[in-house]
Amino acid sequence: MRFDDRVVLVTGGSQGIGEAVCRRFAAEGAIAAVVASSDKAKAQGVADAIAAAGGRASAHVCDVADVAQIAALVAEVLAAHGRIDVLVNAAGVFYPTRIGETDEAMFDRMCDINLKGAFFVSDAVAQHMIERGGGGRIVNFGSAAGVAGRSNYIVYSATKAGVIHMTRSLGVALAPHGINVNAVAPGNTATPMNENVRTQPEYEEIRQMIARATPSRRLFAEATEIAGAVLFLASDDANAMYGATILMDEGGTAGY
Amino acid sequence: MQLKNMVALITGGSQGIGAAIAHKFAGEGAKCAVVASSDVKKAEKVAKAVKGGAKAYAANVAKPAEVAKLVDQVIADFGRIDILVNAAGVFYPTPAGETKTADMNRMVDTNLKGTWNVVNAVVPHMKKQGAGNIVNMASVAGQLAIPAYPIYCATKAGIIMMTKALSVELARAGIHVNAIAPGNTETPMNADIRTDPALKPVLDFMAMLTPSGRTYSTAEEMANVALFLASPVTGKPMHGTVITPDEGFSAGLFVAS
Repeated sequence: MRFDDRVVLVTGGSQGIGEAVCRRFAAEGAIAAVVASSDKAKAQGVADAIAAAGGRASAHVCDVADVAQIAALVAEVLAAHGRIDVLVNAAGVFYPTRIGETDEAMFDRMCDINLKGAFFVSDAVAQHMIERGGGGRIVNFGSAAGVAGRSNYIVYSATKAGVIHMTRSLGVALAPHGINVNAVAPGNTATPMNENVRTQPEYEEIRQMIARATPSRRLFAEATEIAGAVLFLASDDANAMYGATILMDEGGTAGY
Repeated sequence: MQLKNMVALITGGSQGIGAAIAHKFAGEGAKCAVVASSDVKKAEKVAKAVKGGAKAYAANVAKPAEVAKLVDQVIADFGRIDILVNAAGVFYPTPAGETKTADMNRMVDTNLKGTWNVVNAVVPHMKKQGAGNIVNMASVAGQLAIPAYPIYCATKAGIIMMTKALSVELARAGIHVNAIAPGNTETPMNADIRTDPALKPVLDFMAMLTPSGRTYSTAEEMANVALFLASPVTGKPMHGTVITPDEGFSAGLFVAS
């Protein structure tokens, strides 16, 4: 299989797209190190489900906003599996930050997790990959909101634009070491985070708004489809890609 | 077998990236219509080498009448067109003040109008089917300027915006339109730069600007990306996406140490 015996570290791996990423890697032979932000039981639940399906996985917990916890996480994964071949930075938070309704703590938390977290996990894992000398793969999560602005999600869209641009710089910084750094930028994707928007009657107006802004007939992509792009970027098929971002947004940012 | 029994029309299919795509797609079960610009024998060579009943054609994409005939013939032969890959294109310098109008016209006619001509002829069939997937060949030179190639850069930037505009026009009809913007890729089109000692400075310049240390990607690597976009297994959420497999060339400033 494509990822036989590769060790894949996935932050934000305990739900949503990150969980789908863990499951798909494990299904293709990889050992998934599933990281939850605070609740280890959630990561353990994903790891157990992977094991029940015949795959291999371990559960970890790390608040990526805390640099000291990142060092401990990387040490723990290396102790358990000996190496890290692929890092997927899927940890992130998403909440509105409107003008007049956003305090400093909301701003800082968003930046600390989405942008600072992705940098310091990459920093720690890249140093391991460089020392090992066998190259590696890092896949970051941008967002369609990092390509086009969002009036209600001002800080979120800024952190995701930051991740997309950081991916370019990391791409050129780590390319000489054979480490491919790339990103996926999903649009609306069906996850537990937006189950209410997809299913509840009171969100009908929002659904119509999304439909107007979505050129394709599908308002939400599937998490497993976004995971497909992550696996593609981690595979040999993406050998030529460094610093690139793959948009998977049902045409949402291509135009009107 | 991600493309089992799907029909793929590939312009520029007789060499380089187009030929690599024909090989890749046929290996995934597609029936390929391999199109050469003028010499059908070149297309026949590729069609014979790939698996799965590929057929060879010749058509100059710059000529709408030739394109219409091509598409009619492919529909007559295969009954449908599920995937269109616009890989036909030309690449040569057009420095300012030293370029003949005919050379400028040939590049615009082939790269930009040619892509449009085939899209225009194929889309009615895809609309009838209620599904389709179009992959255009842009270039990193459509995103990042390179000196002495202004018309090439302009046609490729044009293809990128045309891809996005077509994607929003056709997404509701179930038709995906996306593009690949390859960086330097080893093909016959750039054999001169890779082998001619007189062009060694150009090669050295490219090497200095390539973060990965691989100055040229392989055509097969571009075919892998084309499959990712065209496959119903992986390509569903993508409309108007441009993927740039370019060895980090366009990601930012890089200084080789």
